[in-house]
Amino acid sequence: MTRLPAPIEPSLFKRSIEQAARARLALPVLLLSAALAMAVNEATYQHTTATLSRGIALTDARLEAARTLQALTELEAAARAYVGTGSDTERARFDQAAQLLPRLQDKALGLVAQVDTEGVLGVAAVRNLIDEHAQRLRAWVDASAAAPGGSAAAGFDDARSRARSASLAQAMDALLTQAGTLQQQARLSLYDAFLLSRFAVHALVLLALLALLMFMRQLRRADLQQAREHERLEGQIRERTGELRDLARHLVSAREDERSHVARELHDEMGGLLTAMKLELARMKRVPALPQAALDRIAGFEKRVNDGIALKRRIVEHLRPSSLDQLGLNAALEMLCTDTAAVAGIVVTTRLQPVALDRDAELSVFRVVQESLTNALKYAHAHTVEVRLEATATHALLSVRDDGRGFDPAAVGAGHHGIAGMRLRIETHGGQLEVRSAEGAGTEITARLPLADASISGPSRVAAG
Amino acid sequence: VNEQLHIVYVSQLAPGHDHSVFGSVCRTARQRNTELGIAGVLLFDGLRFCQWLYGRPAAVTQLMASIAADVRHTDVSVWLQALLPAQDFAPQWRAGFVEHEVLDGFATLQGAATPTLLEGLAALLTQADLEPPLPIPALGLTLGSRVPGAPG
Repeated sequence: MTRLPAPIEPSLFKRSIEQAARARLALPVLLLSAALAMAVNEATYQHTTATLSRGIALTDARLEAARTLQALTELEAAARAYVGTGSDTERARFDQAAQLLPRLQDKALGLVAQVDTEGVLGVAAVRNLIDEHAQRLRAWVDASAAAPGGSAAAGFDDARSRARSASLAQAMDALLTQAGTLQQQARLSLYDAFLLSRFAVHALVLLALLALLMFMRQLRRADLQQAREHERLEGQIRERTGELRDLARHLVSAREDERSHVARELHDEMGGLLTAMKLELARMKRVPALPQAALDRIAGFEKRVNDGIALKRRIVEHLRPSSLDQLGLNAALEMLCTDTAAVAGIVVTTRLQPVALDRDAELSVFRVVQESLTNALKYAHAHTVEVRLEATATHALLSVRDDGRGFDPAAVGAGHHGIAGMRLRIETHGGQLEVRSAEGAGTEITARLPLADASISGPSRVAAG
Repeated sequence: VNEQLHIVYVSQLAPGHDHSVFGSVCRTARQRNTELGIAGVLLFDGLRFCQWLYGRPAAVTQLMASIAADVRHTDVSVWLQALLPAQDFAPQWRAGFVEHEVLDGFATLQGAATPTLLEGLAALLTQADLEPPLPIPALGLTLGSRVPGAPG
């Protein structure tokens, strides 16, 4: 029996973690943690993507804003040139710039709007300023076209136009700066998100690792517990088997004791009665002048009493085989077989080698042969029976084979308990009993018993000097 | 210390008692004699008892006194009382039956010398129906040197 290591007493911390793991909430908590970590990770991804897109948009917006301002400058320059010269080339230049401006403006302001997802920036105001400036320039150009000469030029307040232009550029610049600030904030929150995501992933990995460790530990404990349980059950089986064997031994010896007791009672009580009857008959015979018929009757009666005495002896001998003690196993078996053959009218052959067994084992062998012979006659209706006893270096081998009807040893039926009893009896001596039989194929009962240790097996029955 | 007291007596079934006395005597004697370490044989022919007892002198003497006082038999006549060399044996007490004529034959030896009596007793035992039976090899032995029932 291998000794298992004593269970390691876990620390309070470990114990409480294990308790938590064993609780019903363990799985939901684990799943929730996983879902949370995934959500955080996904949100971070989304946030990152959006922030990166907005960063690109902001860069583009700056470029487009510069282009827009350049287009405005070009528009204003073209307007001045046209008003100054009235040249159609300049007018075409103005129209081209005016045509280009809305596209550039939409593009720039659209990009700014992308950065300003919450609409906090004054995009509309800048748009109005651009539109207003462009309209004034157009109005000035149109007025100059209608009335060529100085009046149109005079109608345009150059200082105010310059101021408008400057404030426009300023507003645009402010807009971009604000957008830059927004983007900067978004970038800062991105760091927070990264940090959160990092912690979430680390925590999830740690949690999963812990769960895995606990699972493995649990598996190991379960294995250990199973092994212990297995061992305990095996021990219990061994114990029970031992108890059963002891019980069987006890029953066998109790049965033999009871048989001896009955044999003695029968001998003493019935023997006393029959002996007294015999004496009475002997006295009766000596009564003078008895008629011959009476003497004949007395003789008949006496014969029956003698039959009764012989019957009593047979029964007593069957109950406790005294021949075993007097003559030894082989001679007792010979006698048993001869008697059985004579009484039942069958052929019983014997091939018996001397074997060294102790007294109880000899009695068991005798009983097995006795019961096998009874079975061969009673159930199998055999005509011939062969009884063999052989000795190997370590074991005595007994075989009783008949040519009777046979039976299916696997089926439970008449004689089943008898065979179980024989087997148990042989097993109490550390031997084995086997039954080989089939319907119509006869029966062979074999028993294999360890030989008695030479130091134990005393010649208990030998009385000769 | 190395001697055993042997006693052989013959008695009659007391009037008013029948064969069932034998059974009841056996029932108590089988166990008691084994406990006292007393061996021997009780024979019954239907009317007479013949008992041979041997063992430690004190135990045998005490047992014999109580036997003599037993009212179930009368005419207790001790035929032999002798100290003989002890045998190494497991005490075995037997009981059984002999035919009336066979016991009559033994009765002719009353008053004979101890060896003759013991030889006659051995011959008597071979014709008795004993329980437990005598070990067969012991049957042919002279009682002076070997005692029936004493395993070698």
